Amino acid sequence: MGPGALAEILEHLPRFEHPDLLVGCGVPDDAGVYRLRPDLALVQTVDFFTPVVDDPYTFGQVAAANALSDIYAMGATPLTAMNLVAFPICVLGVSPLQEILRGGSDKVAEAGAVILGGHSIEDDEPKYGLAVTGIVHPDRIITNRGAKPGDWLVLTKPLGTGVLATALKGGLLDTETEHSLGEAMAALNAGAARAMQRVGVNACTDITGFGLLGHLRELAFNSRVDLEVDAAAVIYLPQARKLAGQGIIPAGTYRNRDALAPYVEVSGTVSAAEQDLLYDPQTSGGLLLAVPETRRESLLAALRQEGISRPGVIGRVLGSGTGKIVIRGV
Amino acid sequence: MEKQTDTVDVRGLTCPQPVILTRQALEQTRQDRITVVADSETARDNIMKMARSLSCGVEVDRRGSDFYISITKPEDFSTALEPQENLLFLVASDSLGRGSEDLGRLLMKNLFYTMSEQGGLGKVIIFVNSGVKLACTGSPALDFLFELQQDGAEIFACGTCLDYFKLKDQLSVGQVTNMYTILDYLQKVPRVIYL
Repeated sequence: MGPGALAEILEHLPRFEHPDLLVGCGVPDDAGVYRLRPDLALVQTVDFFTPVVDDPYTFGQVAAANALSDIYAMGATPLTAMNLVAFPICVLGVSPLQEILRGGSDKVAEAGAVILGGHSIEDDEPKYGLAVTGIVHPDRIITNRGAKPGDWLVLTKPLGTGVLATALKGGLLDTETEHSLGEAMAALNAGAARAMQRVGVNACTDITGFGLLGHLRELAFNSRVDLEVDAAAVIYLPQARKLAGQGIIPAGTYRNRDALAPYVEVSGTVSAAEQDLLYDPQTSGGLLLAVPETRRESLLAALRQEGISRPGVIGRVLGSGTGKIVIRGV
Repeated sequence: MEKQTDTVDVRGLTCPQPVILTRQALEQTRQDRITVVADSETARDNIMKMARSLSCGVEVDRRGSDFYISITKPEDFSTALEPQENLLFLVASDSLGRGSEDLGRLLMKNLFYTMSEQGGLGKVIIFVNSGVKLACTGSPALDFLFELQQDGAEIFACGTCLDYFKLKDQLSVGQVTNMYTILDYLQKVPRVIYL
């Protein structure tokens, strides 16, 4: 669901207040956090969606990496997961579902967590995802509200999964690009999370359905700052800019743009294709980190050590503000 | 018979089908103009982007909840669809133009950024002299060169130059090459651009 509709619905729901509710619906973040003891808090998240790639095993991996990502984005460690399955078992048979679940299971194992069980229903359209639980020390929670003026913004995965998945649906992707799309989405954010915990960052969020600008807007608004994004520093998946220029753009991109337009200003020349990609809904996108100037280089070094070959320094926190974002072009 | 290919109805279809069907119709029809009927803003915007990427003229007329999109082909439409003939960029410096080295380096980065947006197909990029630094670790143009390469561009760096700057183990994108290959390309590729 787009950020506009979701905000409207949540606005009219009663808010829970509890002394141990550390992060909840009141200030939207990646996952909810509940304090169990002074030194231990529970982190919970859930996410599921329809297939974004044709290969069922890869889809399972992507869905799990995506669900786990919310735990990593809070600075927490995933412990357990539950499968959520909707599947037309009479139409497609058992074997694609087995492959989906095997993909999910392998990713959860790679994350060092365990699957406890799950729930399945019959549905015309396949859907898969997981509810994931993790733990964190309450003092070590990394939210999207801690960004400080002068912080640098670092993105750990390239953008463009929405555009490429749309192209894939239309049979417009070559095998090589399809492979790099699957690989990018199936990659865990575990290494990026380790790097940010080792070095220390002021804020973190993961980039998913609201697109880079949608999640930056949440981070900027919750941190009470304004941001700038350097369009030329953002890294895209291969073919993404070309396909976006040819109008291969999912409806979610436009939903995100409509909801965010009042907060975004373009300065200089940024091509229409790139502007669209900045709003492009991401599946299992990277972590977006706000890091102080003094720790920027050590963060980049730590990310490279964790195997993230091209971390992008994509922008900067300008100063205290109301959550505005300036996109700077060439 | 041909009148039937003039109108494409993409109502009820989700992205990317409206774009694909419109493009097919443009490629197949012998008319100069087609009309597409769409029922969502997403389809309308995407079809307009696709048409403009092929240098077509676009006009939209709203009727009720539908959009009638009229697309006019440019005169050289058939060439817009064909892959461009090879273009060789000989990059002999890591800085573009004279006046300020720093400004030149920024301009060079912006050049490859803009080039990567156009796509890499049919492009050959050869780095010589201090130009080789652009293809080495730490270069501000590296990401764009990766993208160009993935998109079909051929990238070469002069081996003698890499040796001279002691950068042979720092080359991050493209292949090491020698003067035979460089000269061969210079003579073979119809259009050479010197930077």
